[in-house]
Amino acid sequence: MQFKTIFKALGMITGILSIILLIPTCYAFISETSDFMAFLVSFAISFFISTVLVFIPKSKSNLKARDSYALVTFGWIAAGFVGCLPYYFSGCIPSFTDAYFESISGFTTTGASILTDIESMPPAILLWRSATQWLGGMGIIVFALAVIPHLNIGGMSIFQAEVPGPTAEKLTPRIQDTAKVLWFVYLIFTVILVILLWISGMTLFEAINHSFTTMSTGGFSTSNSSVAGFHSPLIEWIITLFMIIAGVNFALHYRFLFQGWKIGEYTRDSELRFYLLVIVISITTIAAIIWIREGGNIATLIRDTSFTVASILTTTGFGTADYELWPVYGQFILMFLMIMGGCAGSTAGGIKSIRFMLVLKYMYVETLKMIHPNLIRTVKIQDSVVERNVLANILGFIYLYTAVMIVSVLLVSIETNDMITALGSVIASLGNIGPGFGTVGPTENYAHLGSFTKWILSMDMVMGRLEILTFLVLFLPHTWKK
Amino acid sequence: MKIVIAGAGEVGFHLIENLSKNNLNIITIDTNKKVLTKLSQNYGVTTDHANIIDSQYLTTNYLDDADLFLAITNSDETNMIACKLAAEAGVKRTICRIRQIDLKSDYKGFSLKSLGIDWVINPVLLVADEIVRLILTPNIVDTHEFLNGEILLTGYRMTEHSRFIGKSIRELEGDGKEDLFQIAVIQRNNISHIPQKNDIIKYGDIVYFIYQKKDFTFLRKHLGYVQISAKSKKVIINGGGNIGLRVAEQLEKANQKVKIIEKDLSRSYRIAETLQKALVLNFDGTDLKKLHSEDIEKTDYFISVTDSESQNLTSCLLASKQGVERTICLVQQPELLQIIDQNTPISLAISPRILTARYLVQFIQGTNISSYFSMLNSQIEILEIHLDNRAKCVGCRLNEINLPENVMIGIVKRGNSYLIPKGSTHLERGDVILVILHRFDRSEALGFFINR
Repeated sequence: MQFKTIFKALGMITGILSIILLIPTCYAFISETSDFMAFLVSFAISFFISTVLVFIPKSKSNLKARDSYALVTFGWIAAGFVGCLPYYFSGCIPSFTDAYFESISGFTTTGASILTDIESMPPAILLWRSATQWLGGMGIIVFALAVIPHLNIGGMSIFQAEVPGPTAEKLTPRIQDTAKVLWFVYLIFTVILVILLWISGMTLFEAINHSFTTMSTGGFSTSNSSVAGFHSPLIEWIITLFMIIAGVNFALHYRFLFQGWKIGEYTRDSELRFYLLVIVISITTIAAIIWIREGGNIATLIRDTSFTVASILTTTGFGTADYELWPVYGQFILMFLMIMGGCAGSTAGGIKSIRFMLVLKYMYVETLKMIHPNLIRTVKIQDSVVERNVLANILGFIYLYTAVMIVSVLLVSIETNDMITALGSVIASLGNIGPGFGTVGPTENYAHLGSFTKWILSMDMVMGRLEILTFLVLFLPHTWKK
Repeated sequence: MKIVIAGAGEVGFHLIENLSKNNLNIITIDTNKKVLTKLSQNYGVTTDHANIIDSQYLTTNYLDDADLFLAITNSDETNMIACKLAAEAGVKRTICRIRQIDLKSDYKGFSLKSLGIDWVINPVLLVADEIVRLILTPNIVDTHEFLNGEILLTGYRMTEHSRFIGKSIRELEGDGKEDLFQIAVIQRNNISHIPQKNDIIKYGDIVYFIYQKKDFTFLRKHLGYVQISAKSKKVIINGGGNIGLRVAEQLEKANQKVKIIEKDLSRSYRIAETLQKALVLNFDGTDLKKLHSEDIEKTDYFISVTDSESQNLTSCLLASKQGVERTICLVQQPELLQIIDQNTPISLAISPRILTARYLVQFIQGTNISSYFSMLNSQIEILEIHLDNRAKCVGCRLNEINLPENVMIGIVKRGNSYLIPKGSTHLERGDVILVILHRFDRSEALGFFINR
């Protein structure tokens, strides 16, 4: 382990976050709210720690893969600590566990909250809460790569460890440029969304907050009843659209925007087609079943199911309808969507569409082999072959995801006496969704859970965001051997 | 006409065998002395023992006044370099045999011309395309292009669907469509002849038609072949080499149900990566038990194109024993072709060398003959001839010149239009005609068309 380099890099990440903390600090100063001092103290503490760490000399040898994993994992856990300081010092969230839970839920774009009355919070705190999601959405380390010149640490393996999906795609020859490009695309979409929401009736403050949390598929809102609080079908449709956009591989957006506006970039992508197909099937079947059973206004029904399906599949977690009142079919579909998640290379969480698609194809091949015992067939995506080790990796990942889920449910059920809640909260945390089932459903929050449970869920969120392996590798003795 | 052939391998040998009867000036270059001796003894061609890509050699010998240069050694790279050098030395036309590299298409800023290559010949593609054609258009036995591909010569096998059976040529000419095609050759029991007015078409005949490419569909319909090949066929290909893979790819594109058998595991993966829908199966193509589990008895076509001749023969015989009606077998030795055609249940044998040689023959041109085609296993030739004003027949009506009985004019190209000649048709200067003739009548017939 190259501890010196890791600590130095952690110092840089803390430093960046502390500088970003200055934005809500200024906002608090201008809006003259009581939390100004809290932000200032948080900034001072994190900036001090970062300065100390940055002065650690670099190790002589380069970072190895395991060092990258350690750096990324510790980077995220450290970000959670920096992020919780304002909540804690301002007294908005008196318990440190709760403050950390809220902070890591922000950075991992989960959107699970322990706040019961969001609207009573000072605006600067709300802005910081949304900003953590926006930063976490595209990745803190990728952000660090993009903004710090000559950050010669890790390179591709760091990028790989943080960008979701089975294989990270380098869009440009230099990894730093790729990071910049991704952040730039992300920024463009966020700005467009801010403008759209602003002219559709939100205040600028609300528009910025909701754009941050929509593009990052986070799900924090500034109103107690989430997006439903705006009572505007237009806003709901805009957010539905942008949630779906945020759930698409950003490499596709990049190629579309910067390589000639060819719609073929999207239509050719089989993962995207699969993802959209899942969305369409989910919306139509759920809406149809609700309509047959209960009737009601079709327009509202379609809008609510579209919004909810998009919100859950992209692991955003905004709410307009209480899906716990839906027929069980709808709830099961949503549970499946929570586990599946959006596309690789997007800001969404979950197992990712491409892995599901590949496993389906793999299952088809295996079934075909029952009829033709000597069959040789490779799994392909858009005519390119998926190597067998990638497939094994994906199968292993899905198995691990399930294993982590089971162990977490066991641990959570020590304090929670409700099966649905235990399962729902773990699925929602691991998939970075936010609202789960049972007592953590779309109309409730996580405040009532025990503190041990909250720590378990916090770690689930980090594991879900970093796709488990990056995190779990730290528990291998091999990682720590000299 | 002076032809330089680089490489006296199997293709070269077969080609020279075909060409030697035609009174051409052929020079063969190879590094193998034994083969050269055999060639010069048997066919009387000039031979030279040398390495063709020795640039010194190419620039100083023969090449400056050669009409055609054929690079058909076993090495693609050697052939390409040889063509470039030959073109530099001033050869009029070069043909390059390329087996591994896909050079059919011109890339951006790159053309075959820049390599000095006028024409690429790829035996793998020839064989594969021939097999695919046989499957997709089963009644078509053979097809050939003339006049830059505008005119087709197609041999149709007369099956029960054909409207032509039992009719004489005279009857067929009287049904109003006679301006669109010409019956050039009838092949019955492996003997070909140029038809006379009273000949009657029988079941099982192979009838060769000459017609314009645009009339392909019309002719098919006219013959009565309309509904056929709508249903996709079940095809098993034994051998996943370059030929097998190419055939599988083409058939897959045409929505046929393809299974391809390959013995080698890593090659199986390689072809599985290339193919989309076709089933790639990894076992030995002579393993009857496994063939049974793949429903061989319900297969329409069994094609064996492995590298091993005996493997091909065995598996094709096995397949026909299991009830596969149509089996196609790849053989290397040309001699096997005739044995297979007559004495075994294997429906067709294909030899890449013969195909290649036959394909190459069409490039060998005389002064006024721009294309030449000799039908397989027969004495019939088809020549594409330019009429200039010195030709005896110019200005005459066809029934005025006393052409020998076995000589026939298939089609006349005048300007940009084509006409099927009748007795009253005038021949004019500048016409291009397709002449179908018996080899014995060759020199007599050419006397009418070419001024020597």
